[in-house]
Amino acid sequence: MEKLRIALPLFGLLLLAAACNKKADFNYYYYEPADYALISQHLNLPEIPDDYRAQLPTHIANLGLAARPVEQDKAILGRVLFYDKSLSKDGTISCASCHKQELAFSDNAKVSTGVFNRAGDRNSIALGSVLNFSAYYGTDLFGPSGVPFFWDNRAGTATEQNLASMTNPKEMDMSHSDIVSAVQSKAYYAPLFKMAFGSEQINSERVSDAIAEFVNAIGSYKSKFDKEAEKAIGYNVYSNNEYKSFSGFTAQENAGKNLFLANCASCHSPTQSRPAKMKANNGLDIATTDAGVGGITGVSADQGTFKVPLLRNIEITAPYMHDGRFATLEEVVEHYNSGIQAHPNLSEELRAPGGGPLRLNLSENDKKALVAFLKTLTDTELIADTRFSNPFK
Amino acid sequence: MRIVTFRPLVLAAIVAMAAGCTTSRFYTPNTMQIPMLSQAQEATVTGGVSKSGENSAWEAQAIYSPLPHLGVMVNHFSLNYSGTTQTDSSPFSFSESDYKGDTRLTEGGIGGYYQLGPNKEYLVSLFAGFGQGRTENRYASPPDLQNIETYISNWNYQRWFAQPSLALKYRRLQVGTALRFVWLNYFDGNINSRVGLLETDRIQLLESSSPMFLTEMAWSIGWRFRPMVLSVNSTAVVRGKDSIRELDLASNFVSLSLGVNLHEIGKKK
Ligand code: HEC
Ligand code: HEC
Repeated sequence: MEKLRIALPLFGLLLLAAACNKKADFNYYYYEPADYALISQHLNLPEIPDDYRAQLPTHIANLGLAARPVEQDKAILGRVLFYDKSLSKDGTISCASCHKQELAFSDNAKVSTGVFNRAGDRNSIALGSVLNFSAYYGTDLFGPSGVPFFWDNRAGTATEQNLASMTNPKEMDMSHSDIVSAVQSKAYYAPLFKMAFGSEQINSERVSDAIAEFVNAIGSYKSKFDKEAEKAIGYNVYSNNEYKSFSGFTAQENAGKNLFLANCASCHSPTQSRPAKMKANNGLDIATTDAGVGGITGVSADQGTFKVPLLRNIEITAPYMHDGRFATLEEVVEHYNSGIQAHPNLSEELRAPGGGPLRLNLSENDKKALVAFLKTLTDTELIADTRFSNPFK
Repeated sequence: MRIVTFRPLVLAAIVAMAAGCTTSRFYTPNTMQIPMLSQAQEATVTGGVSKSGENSAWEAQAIYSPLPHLGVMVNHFSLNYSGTTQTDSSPFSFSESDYKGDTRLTEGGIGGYYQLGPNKEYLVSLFAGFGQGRTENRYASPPDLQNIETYISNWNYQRWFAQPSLALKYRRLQVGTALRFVWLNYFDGNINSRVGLLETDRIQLLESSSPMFLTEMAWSIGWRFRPMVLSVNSTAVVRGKDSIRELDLASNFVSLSLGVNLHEIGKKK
């Protein structure tokens, strides 16, 4: 009897335990519900944001490079600003007008058209050609890994750069106060600024800071080339492995890779990671019409030299060169094969032993192979990545 | 039996307590109430406090025997704590957040007790019970976002326990030890995931490991001056699933309590 007195309640408890077991079901939220309701009226932002941090593949990490930290909330805000046309004088142009995601954030016009149909001076640079802004751009500018911006290397950081784009009369033509009032006029920016900066205060520094964070988050490292390099860990251009074939490449692509390593990598980077040279003249013209880096530094050796662009996604970023003069990769390859001009500042790498312009004398098959290799640099995941797509409804 | 017999026990208890008191923003064990019942109609109410650094707790506990060998108990636990934790990390930097939080737990139990030993000085008991609690953590934002409101995460949990214990009661001294098998289930929560990926990961681990099974152990030494008992108590989580360690649950909780044995009030010594 006494035992029952104890056993019965215990038994009851056990029954209850079995009955009351609720499965854990936590509710994770990122935006305050009221803010999200407001934001959702205009924007397609996921309720729990995607991670904007880059996960660099090992073959790149092995080069000693690490992904840059990304401030999530700034990148989210930056994405909206990047696509917002109201940040331009006539309300028709956003960063994305000249940096289109489907073109790896470049433009297919020879020179991009800005506000009021004003033509710019140069061909848009593919933001997605950059392996990862994180690792190379914007940080450590004057150190060994700093890569400056623009064809003439005039901007040091992404923040500097995008303010220049916004205020450029041929691009967006906005004054700092124009920028602030354009942003202030949209209610959904208040919570986004608060999340990114801790207060709703809007100023042009914050605007460009946020855009820079977004641009810095764009990284391209999932091309066929990357996948093969990842399989061939140990791919190290400074060792004898450099001419090793990639197993997933066609014979033609492997041949193209070898031609690239022999003739192009000394400037454009064998690993497609960071340019091996910061600036060069690649013999486009015999005399300079656009002074390029020289126009900024005033140094005569810089006249007619330009940023050495990374060639990631080059297949989809036509037309080519700072003035968009070449429409196809075949034309580019023919230029390097037979068209190098003897500009006084023509780079060493493109000079024949006597000092005159180099002639590669490539066969038709070689040229095709080089183009085939360049096409392995296309990152189809980047151009479909919704984290970087237009958020406006 | 002479007091000398207890020396190792007393020493062990003191060592356990000296090991210090830790709190966790996920789970801190409350002081285990070790029954000292020896006959029907006995009742004890106890109030306890705990303080270490920024952390403080108070507890209220009561136990009553309505019938011989049958006891019921209720416990309430209220803990406030604060600290700093790494909430995000990347190869280049990491961020830390200060947090403040509190947890409340109310539980009830029922069980049986027996007296053993030549002088009936051993009290063995087995209790089981159920409780429900709520924990809320409020994190300050990273230092560069001074003005932002804090990120709040909170969750509700249920706790089932079975608790076998052994106690010795003398005129001036009472000591006890107990095991508590805890079955802990976090069943809902509201989590502001902006606190950082690392912290969100920990909370997700808490969610995915629920319900979890913990084994806890307690010591208590009390000095009796009828009808009161002044006790030092220590409760520790001694065993859990591997994932529990990653959750950094509190390992040891120490409290000081003052109990009143209602049945001793007005009675001659
Ligand atoms: C009207 C077209 C146009 C608009 C609008 C525009 N850009 Fe550009 N962008 C260009 C052109 C053209 C260049 C190359 C200019 C040069 O080098 O002188 C460029 C270069 C850049 C570069 C340098 C890339 C590198 O690797 O050096 C970045 C970064 C950039 N733009 C980002 C932005 C952002 C952010 C915005 C919006 C705030 C923006 N752009 C708006 C046309 C545009
Ligand atoms: C001396 C260094 C150098 C070498 C060697 C070199 N390039 Fe270039 N390349 C440049 C520079 C500088 C530019 C940008 C020039 C400009 O726009 O004025 C460029 C531009 C390009 C472009 C256009 C990029 C764009 O975004 O518009 C392609 C494609 C290209 N190079 C491919 C090659 C190939 C293929 C080879 C090897 C056959 C090669 N380059 C060798 C320096 C070099």
